[in-house]
Amino acid sequence: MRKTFNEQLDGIIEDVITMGSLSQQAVHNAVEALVEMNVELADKTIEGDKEIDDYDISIEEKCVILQAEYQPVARDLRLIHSISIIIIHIERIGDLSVNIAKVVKRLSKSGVEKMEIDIIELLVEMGNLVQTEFNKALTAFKNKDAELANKIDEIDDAVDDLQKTVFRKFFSKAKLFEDVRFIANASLASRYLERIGDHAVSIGERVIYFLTGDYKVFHRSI
Amino acid sequence: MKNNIKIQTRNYGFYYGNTKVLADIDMDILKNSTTAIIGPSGCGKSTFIRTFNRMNDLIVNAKVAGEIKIDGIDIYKDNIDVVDLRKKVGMVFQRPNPFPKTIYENIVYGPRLHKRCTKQQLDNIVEVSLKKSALWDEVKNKLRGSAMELSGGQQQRLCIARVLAVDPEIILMDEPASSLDPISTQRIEDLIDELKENYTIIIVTHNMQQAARVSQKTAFLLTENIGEPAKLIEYDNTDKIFTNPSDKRTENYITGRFG
Repeated sequence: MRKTFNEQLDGIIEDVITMGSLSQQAVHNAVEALVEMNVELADKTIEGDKEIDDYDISIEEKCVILQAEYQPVARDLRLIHSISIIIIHIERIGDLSVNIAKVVKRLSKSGVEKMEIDIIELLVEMGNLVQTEFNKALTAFKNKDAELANKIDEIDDAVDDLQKTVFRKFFSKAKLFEDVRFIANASLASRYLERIGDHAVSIGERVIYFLTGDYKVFHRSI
Repeated sequence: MKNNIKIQTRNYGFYYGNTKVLADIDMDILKNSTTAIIGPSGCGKSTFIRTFNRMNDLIVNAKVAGEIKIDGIDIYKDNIDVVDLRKKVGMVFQRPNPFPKTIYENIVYGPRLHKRCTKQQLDNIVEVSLKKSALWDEVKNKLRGSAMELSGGQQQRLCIARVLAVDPEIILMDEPASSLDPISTQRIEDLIDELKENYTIIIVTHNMQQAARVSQKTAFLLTENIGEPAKLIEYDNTDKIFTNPSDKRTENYITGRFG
């Protein structure tokens, strides 16, 4: 029975990794669509979210069945419980990518063809950092690497700082950007990126918990 | 904390002849709680709990080493009355073993051995014991019927009632639900949960989920190498053992990686 359990659990882990890759691609596409004002890529990001959502539901269902059939304990229990939460974060990252894609569509509809270069630079930097965070979180999960998971929030401080910089920049340019819609949408995009970083940090915390069983990890930022 | 300790073992060991089967067990078992003893088959779990009412005295060449105290008194001292000890420390076995007598006679058997009782006192003991073991409603109208006609689950609850009838302080349970169906098992588990309010319960079980459900403390015994005595690998709060055990060997066992 242990063999069957392991096979099923390995299958779930594979699904999480696949779901994570899809979500990574969604973030990548969303950032690129934003920077390039690429509506086609934005549409692709929105359409791709369904597959991420399907994985979310399917993995959750498999976790419930595995718990019902095998009543796992200790590390197995912590892993399955953590997976159930990690997929929520991955799914939310997918949703935030969709939100960014929608920003692109709204801006495009209001006639914005390209953002100013200094804004683009900031958003690109934020995009790169949150993708690094998310990559590290997924790699830490895949490789069961608590040390790597522990380092994710170091990057997150930089993401938070960048978001503040984006806001400041908008306010300083408020007179130039007469279109409030642009400011609001671009601010939202930076906020969505910042939230993606937060979810990546949360995934890292879940990885640390399932590897160490230590709940303290969830209290460190409180 | 110290006042809350019912049973204390120090450097406990057990021998069958010259073979040491258990070694170096230091445990403090808490009052009014359920302690689960888990471990692979043959590691000495039953042997260990049978020490607490000196059931092992009946085995030729068996020998106990170290110290076992109940309420601070060494139960292996010469002046200990084993009959009194077994009244204080009752036992429920894997298979229900009612006497081939009536339900009523099964319950009053113990009290009659220990003291003179009036008919009214015995009636009262029967009712209280069966109520405590959650069997009263099912058998109150057939107390003079044969105990052998009860279902397996009812027989096991009758055996628990028989233990309760002599007013013990500690109840040892050696896989009490392993031969029962899921509904009867659930009844026994509910009963354990209620009884722990007034008794100290020690249960041996192979069912990890049962240990997790019914106990507050769990002890894991393991024989690491053939020929060596089993040792206490980990003893901790049940919540801790089943979510984040400290010892890798405990984790491997409870997750089914061996044993």
